[in-house]
Amino acid sequence: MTFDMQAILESKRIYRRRLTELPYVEKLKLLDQLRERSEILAASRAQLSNKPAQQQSVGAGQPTRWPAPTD
Amino acid sequence: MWLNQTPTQPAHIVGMALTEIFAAINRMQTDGVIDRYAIGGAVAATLYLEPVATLDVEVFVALQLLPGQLLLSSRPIYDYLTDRGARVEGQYLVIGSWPVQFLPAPSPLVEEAILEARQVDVGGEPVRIFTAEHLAVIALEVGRAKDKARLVQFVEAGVLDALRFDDILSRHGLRDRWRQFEREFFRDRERIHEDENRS
Repeated sequence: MTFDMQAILESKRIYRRRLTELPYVEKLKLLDQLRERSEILAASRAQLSNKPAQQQSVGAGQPTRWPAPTD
Repeated sequence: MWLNQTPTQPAHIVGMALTEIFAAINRMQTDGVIDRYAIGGAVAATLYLEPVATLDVEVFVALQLLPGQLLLSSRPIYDYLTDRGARVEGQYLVIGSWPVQFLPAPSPLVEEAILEARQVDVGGEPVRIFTAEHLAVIALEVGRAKDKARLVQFVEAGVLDALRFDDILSRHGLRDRWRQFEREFFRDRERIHEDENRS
């Protein structure tokens, strides 16, 4: 299996441009969805960190060294 | 209680959408709780760029001292919203599921951004949003890593009016900082400038 990096980067660029060109209302819906997902992730992370240590997977519940930048 | 939530409903129903939050902010303005306002931060940048996950909604408000008042107060905003079901979480007022931060203009640049914000129709709701040029210059002024990344996005997306951008930079004494930023992130553009200056 080969990876055509150029093609991958180009398709990413096209996808990002398509997202940029969406109407603002549609983009806001995406922000709503992204927020909803991050809440679900945060809740499941909190649940994992409440479990006894031996049941946790490696790194679960630990603070991320470099948190993803958000506003 | 137009911000009220029903705890038994699932999150996606309980969570107030951004468009409804804009409507709530406009209602605050109609009711005289806030005067002029404009949306900033990532929610505003999303008007011009691809959507990026964000934790909060930043609402910049022109706060004015009332007669006999010595300090600016955001108390009326908090009282108004908490009376209608919003809850306070640290520096945020949580409306629906979105933390919303009401901020006074911290600099003349942001004051100008509030004044010159553009009005955008969002599903029939008029919303005041910072211009792309002001967002870009504010990102340059603030200068954290994520602000620099956003500024690069603005330039690469080609959404900035160069004259307007340059005018704002000059008015707020940020041309040198922009030159430095260009050198750091856009070496090719900097070479073009040098060639132009030589010829």
